[in-house]
Parts: sequence; structure tokens; C-alpha cells
Amino acid sequence: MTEALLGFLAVFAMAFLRIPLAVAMTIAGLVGLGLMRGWMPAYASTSQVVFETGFAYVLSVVPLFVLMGNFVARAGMAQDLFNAANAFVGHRRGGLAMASIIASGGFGSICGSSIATAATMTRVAYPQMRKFGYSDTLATGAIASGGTLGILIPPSTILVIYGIITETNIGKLFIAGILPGILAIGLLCLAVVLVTWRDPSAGPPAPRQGWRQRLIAVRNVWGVAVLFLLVIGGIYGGVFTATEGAGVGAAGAFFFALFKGTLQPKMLVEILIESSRTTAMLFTILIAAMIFTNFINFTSMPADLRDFIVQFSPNPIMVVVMMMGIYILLGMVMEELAIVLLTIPVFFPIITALGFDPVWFGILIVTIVEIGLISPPVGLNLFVINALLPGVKLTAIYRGVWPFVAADIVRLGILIAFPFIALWLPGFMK
Amino acid sequence: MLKFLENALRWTCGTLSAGALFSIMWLTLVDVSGRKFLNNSVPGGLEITEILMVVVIFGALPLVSWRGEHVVFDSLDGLVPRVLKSLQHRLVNLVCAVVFGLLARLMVMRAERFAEYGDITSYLHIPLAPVAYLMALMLMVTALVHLLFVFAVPPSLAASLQHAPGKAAS
Repeated sequence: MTEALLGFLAVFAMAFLRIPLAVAMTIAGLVGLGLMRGWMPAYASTSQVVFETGFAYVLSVVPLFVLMGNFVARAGMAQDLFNAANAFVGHRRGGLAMASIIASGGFGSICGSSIATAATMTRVAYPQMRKFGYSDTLATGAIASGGTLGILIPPSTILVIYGIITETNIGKLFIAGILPGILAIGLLCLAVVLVTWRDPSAGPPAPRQGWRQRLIAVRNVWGVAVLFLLVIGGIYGGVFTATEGAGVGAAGAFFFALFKGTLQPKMLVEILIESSRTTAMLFTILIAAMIFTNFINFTSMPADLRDFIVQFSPNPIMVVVMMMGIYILLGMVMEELAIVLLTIPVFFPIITALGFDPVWFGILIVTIVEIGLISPPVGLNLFVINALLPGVKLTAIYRGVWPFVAADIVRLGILIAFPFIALWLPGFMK
Repeated sequence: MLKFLENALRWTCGTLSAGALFSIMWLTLVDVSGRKFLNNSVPGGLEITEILMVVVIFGALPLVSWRGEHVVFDSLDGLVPRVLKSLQHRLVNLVCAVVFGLLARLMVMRAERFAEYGDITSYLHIPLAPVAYLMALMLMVTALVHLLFVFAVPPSLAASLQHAPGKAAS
């Protein structure tokens, strides 16, 4: 127990000194294991983790979904989605904000990254909202929170990584994200309604569009529908594994971008290198987390903590609620991926020992990550929007996002109280 | 000089990993369609993908380090006085260089073991030693990138006041 605590302390201390988290976890894991088991075994197990994580077929799911997301981000699909959603709800008060949330949800069904979704929607939706006199706070809040749907609605990078480190079925995790994603869209739109009810000038209605225009707008999103049905439908129906689905999805998105004429050779190379870099960054921290987990699992901490909590908790669900509380607080100040990778080795055994479903917990984890991505002061989505919109102050973005953070916390509560929302659809999978 | 090195890295490591990633995409597509429609998958496609994955991950690693895209805890950046910033960056890069260098050394040891035992993949009989040597080489290049930034100012530091949206994971 003491060794593990010292290990965590060491990681945090190094991280505070601005040592990259992957390097900090590698040092702590390697030194910890070296001191406890001897240096030769520590070296051997570390190099084994590096080799086996780098040389793994199943893990090609990561770069392929990253690549798919980067292709669709450049294929102009976000604009079509926004136009379609706008045609239906744009004439309501706050309608454009709702449209950007709904379009983000649609975009999330083919893109597995929150940042990419937020960045793409900022370029598409913000100018429109600006044109119709929306307040910056509402516009950026809706885009930031909508962006997080990218990792909840499948595909999802975070769910892939959760699936890899906990050895949970990635296909099931994906399908489990669908209904919570729809719930999230509903709640975020409700937040827009509340904001514009308190301050109607924040989101004035746009002109109503006729059914003819609506049908045309819907017809333009066929590409998104085809990709989603192909990839997620294929995984759900058991036609593909998640890895195969990722390859098919990346290729599909490539062809789509090609036919749309948005893919020059130079752009293609750019997208491929960018996707490789993201992959390398993800694997570095993934490998480091595994080295660190090796050490933590060698200590008595996971077992001690599990026994302690299982013994003293009359009400298992309170354990989950407490964990979520810890996550929300951590998420305000830390990078979310780092939090997940650091805490899962300790929290996950407790969850399974209490008899909870790992798939359900995965959805809770994604929800937590989503909240962390938009909760000030450290929220990556907010920074992305801030970087793309130099004219909007970060404080305005901070102010505007609170109603949406609240909506996300309400959703977290609903998902904890009603696990079947996440577990119903994957229940039909083999 | 830095610009030249950056371009060199981009044209070697960058194109290499980009090509590997593109190949994985095609390979998976052909493999899946072959299996579903023709009952015939690409022989050894799985093992080729594994090797290409190594190229993607470790090939792009020097670029990630070059651009300072590793996940860092930067909430305290505002509190560090400007005078100390440069020193902090040099020290952090030194630590990174040592760790990546050590990992490179460990992978060389593993490669030597593979070579000694003659380990090969089960289907295509590709020897594993060169794969581990490739990992070691790329980790070494990454270590050298960090070592360079102990002495030179990295391009990412100049833009460090802006939050780089390189953490595209989440």
C-alpha cells in the first residue's frame, strides 16, 4: 500500500514539474518495480510491455478511428449536418445552438474525438450563430458541450482506450454509448431552452424553413448515415470486430472525402502524418500507463483498497457516486485522459468486485471525461474554441459553459440511477 | 538548422509512419472484404498489420516530441517565473532524453534476445529481432530530439503561451 502511494505521489510530483505524464509514469513504474522486484525483472517486464503494446493487431483500432475522424473533419460533413439540424429547429428560440448540439451528435457518430468535433463545429456553427445575433456565451457553450458528444456517441477514442486497459469488449462499449448519447443531446438542448428562457436575447430565432428545404437538407447527410450504419451497424450486427470496423470506416471516410473533392494529395499526407502523431502520443501514454499499472498491481494497493471498500460499504452505489465526485474534481484541473489512465488500475477492480458491469462503468467514465473537457478552468474543448475564436474572451467561454456542465452532471446522475440506458442495446450482442 | 532538422524528420519519420498508416487502412479493408465476400483473407495480413503498427507508433514518436505534443500537466505554467521557464524546459527535456534513451537500450536488449533465440512470427516467419531494433532506433531518435532541446529552444516553446490543440485524443 505504502509503495503504491509513494508511486502516485512521485507521478504527481514529476507531472507538476511539467515532465510529460508518460515519462513520469514510466519512471515511477520502472523504479517502483525495480526496487520491489529487482532491476533485471523490472527491465524485462518494461521492455515486454513496450514491445507487446507496439506490436499488436487489435490496437490498430486506435489509429484507424483517429484517421477516420480526421478524414470526416475535412470532408465538409459537419456543414451538411448543421444545415439539416438547423432546417428543423433553427426557427426556435436558441434553435441554432440546439442545431449545433444535434449536428455535433451526428458528427460524433462518425468521429471519435471530442476536440475534433468541437473544432469542426466551431468553424461551421459559430459564424451562423454570430450572424443571427447569438451571445458568445451561449454559442461557445453549446459548441463546447456538443463537441464532447464525439467521445460518447460511437466511435470513441476514450472508449477504445478504456476497453484496451480494462480488457472490456470495445464493440459493446460503443453500442452502450448510443442511448446515453441521445439522452445527452436532449439534456443539452434543454439547457439551451433554459438559457434562452432566462435571456431571450441570447439566442434569437432564425427564419423558419419549409418542408421542401428540410427534406433537401436531410438528403445531404446521407454520407454520415451510410458511414455510421456501415461501421457501427457492422460492429453491432457482429459483421465486424471493432478493429475491422475501424479499417472499413477509415477507408469509407477516405472515399467520401475523395469524392467530395476536399482531398488533395498534400492534404492527404498532412492528415496521415497528423493521425500518426496522435497515435504515437496516445500509445506513449498508454504504454507508460501499463508500465505504471504493472508496478501498482505488484503492490497490495488494488487488493487492499478493494477489500476495504467492499467490507465497509453497505451501499455499493455510494462508492460509485464517490468515485464520480473525485473524478469531477480532478477533471477541473487535470487532463482527462491522464486521470483515466492513472485511476483505472485502482478503481476498476473495486467496480468489478462490487458486481457492477464494466461496460456501464465505461460509459460513466466517458461522461466524466466529457464533463472534465468542458469544466473550467482546465477544459481542453474550451481552449480549442478559444484558440479558434480569438475574438471571444476565455472568461466569456467559461461563463457560457456552466449550464451545459450542469446538464452533463444531471445526465451522469441519470446514468448512475438507470444503468439499463447504457446496457440495454449491448445486451442484444453476442 | 532547426528548420532543416524538422524537415528531415518530417520527410523520414513522418512519411514513413504516414505510409504505414495508409497501408494498414487498405490492408484492413482488403482483408475484411476478402473474408466477408470471398471467404479468403489476406494471408498473414494480421502480422503485416502488427509490423506496420510499430512503424506508425514509433515512427511518429520523434515528431510528437519535436512538437511538444506529449500530455503535460500545464496548469502551473502561469505560476512559473519567466526566468525559470527556460531552465525548466531544459531539465524536463534532459529527463525525457534519459528515459527514452533507457527504453531504447531496453529494446536493444530485447532485440538481442529475439536474435539469440531466433524468434519469428507464427505465420509469415518474419524474424522479430529487426522489429525490436526498429523500436530501439526510433526511441533513440526521440531521445536525441529531447537531448537537442536541452541546448536549443524548441519551436513549441515559442508558441507555449497558446494551448496547442495537439491532444486530439479526448
